[in-house]
Amino acid sequence: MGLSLDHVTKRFGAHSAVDAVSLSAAGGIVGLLGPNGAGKSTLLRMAATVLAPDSGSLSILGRDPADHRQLVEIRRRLGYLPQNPGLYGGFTPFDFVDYVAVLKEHTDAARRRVEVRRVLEAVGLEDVMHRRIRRLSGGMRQRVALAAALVGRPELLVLDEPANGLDPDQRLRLRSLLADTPTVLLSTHNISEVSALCRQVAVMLEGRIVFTGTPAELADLAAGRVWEDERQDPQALRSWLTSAGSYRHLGEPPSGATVVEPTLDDGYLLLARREHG
Amino acid sequence: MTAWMAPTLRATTWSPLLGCVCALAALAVVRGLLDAGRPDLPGIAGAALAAAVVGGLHDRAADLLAAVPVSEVRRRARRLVLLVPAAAGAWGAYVAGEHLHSEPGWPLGQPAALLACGLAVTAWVPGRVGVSAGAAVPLCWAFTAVATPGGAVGDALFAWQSHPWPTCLVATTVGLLGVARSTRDPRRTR
Repeated sequence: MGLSLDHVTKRFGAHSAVDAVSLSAAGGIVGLLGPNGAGKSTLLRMAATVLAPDSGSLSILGRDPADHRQLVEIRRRLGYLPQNPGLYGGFTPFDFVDYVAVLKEHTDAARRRVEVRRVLEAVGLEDVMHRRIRRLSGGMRQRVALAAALVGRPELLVLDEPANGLDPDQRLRLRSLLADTPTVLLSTHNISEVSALCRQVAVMLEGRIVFTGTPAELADLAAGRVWEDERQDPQALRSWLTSAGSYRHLGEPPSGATVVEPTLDDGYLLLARREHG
Repeated sequence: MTAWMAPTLRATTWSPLLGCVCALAALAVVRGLLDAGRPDLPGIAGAALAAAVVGGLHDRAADLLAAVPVSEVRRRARRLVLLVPAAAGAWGAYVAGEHLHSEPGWPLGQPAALLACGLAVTAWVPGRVGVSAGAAVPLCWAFTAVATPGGAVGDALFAWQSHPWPTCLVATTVGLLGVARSTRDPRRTR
């Protein structure tokens, strides 16, 4: 079950947004990391049945989205949050999520209202559920969209940067929300979010998956290759000034350097640097 | 009332149709005051109304709703169920107004032909561009026809006026083919 992509490719003109990607998510939260334009959103749109691949195959919740009947079955069990979810400003969160529930074929009005109330409470919008969306803050709107994705307790959640605009408290709440869903595939730029949320992480660069493993394994890529110094080292692959006032370096440490414990950021940055040459 | 009707009524983009109706009302008033007008104005008015109906299909939440079981085609069809009667009512009022001013009456066929052409383009052009392209078609066609002098090309451009129902039939067929393609695999049309 869950999600399985096998050599999936998607091109836009001559550009391969996703290039022969194979990935599986069979339970837990899988984080997709990568810079802007790496192809994360395109990959998520295919995983959410919004976009068809040019080649390769997908299996979503044990079904084939290329078959129309199975596609509808998948969509009944799927929650999707796009990167820029548009909402109807004149609706209240309750009305909007209720409309999404109607479109998710929740036909029993009484049960639907209970479910809508449940998801709005889960994302912390119970106090503003009858206020118009246009009067809500950006973070609240993001939570309305998240609530819409959560309607009906989906078996698979596909979330494109779900923590956009959320405050730290809401990010913590997001973690417990996602824990209830059997399989979650999410993309993010925020590496700390990955370490907090994800059991498995995949790094995507220029349309290809260049790493899959646990967050600890990603950090380990930089083991023995991170050091700190008072001065900037021109030999380092990357250097940056830390909040403590010293320079943190990535690359081959010189003799006598103070090698430090790598973080997930170090592993990701080293991988990105290596792949870009 | 079915569960989808009330929220669809609220979610539908009514501003193009409302704007068009206001413009037509203003036009009728001005024409009444001046007691003059151009004979091609009703054609342009019908095109504007057809464009407004297609423009009403624009869905701000299309991306968020892209993965729900009720397909985009069905959601658009539901909007049309609400938009078309409203536009037909506005057109009827406009035609009645034209009759009051002794202008020739304009039947339903011409705006229907332009609307069918706009919807056909929307069915074939993927993504949200499809709605904009589809809304542009009735206006572009009507303006081009008005601006083009007679002759074979000019006459062909007036097909929506001279042969509205055959034009409507062809456009509807093309549109339904687009819908069928989208229904087979909606992922291919985004």
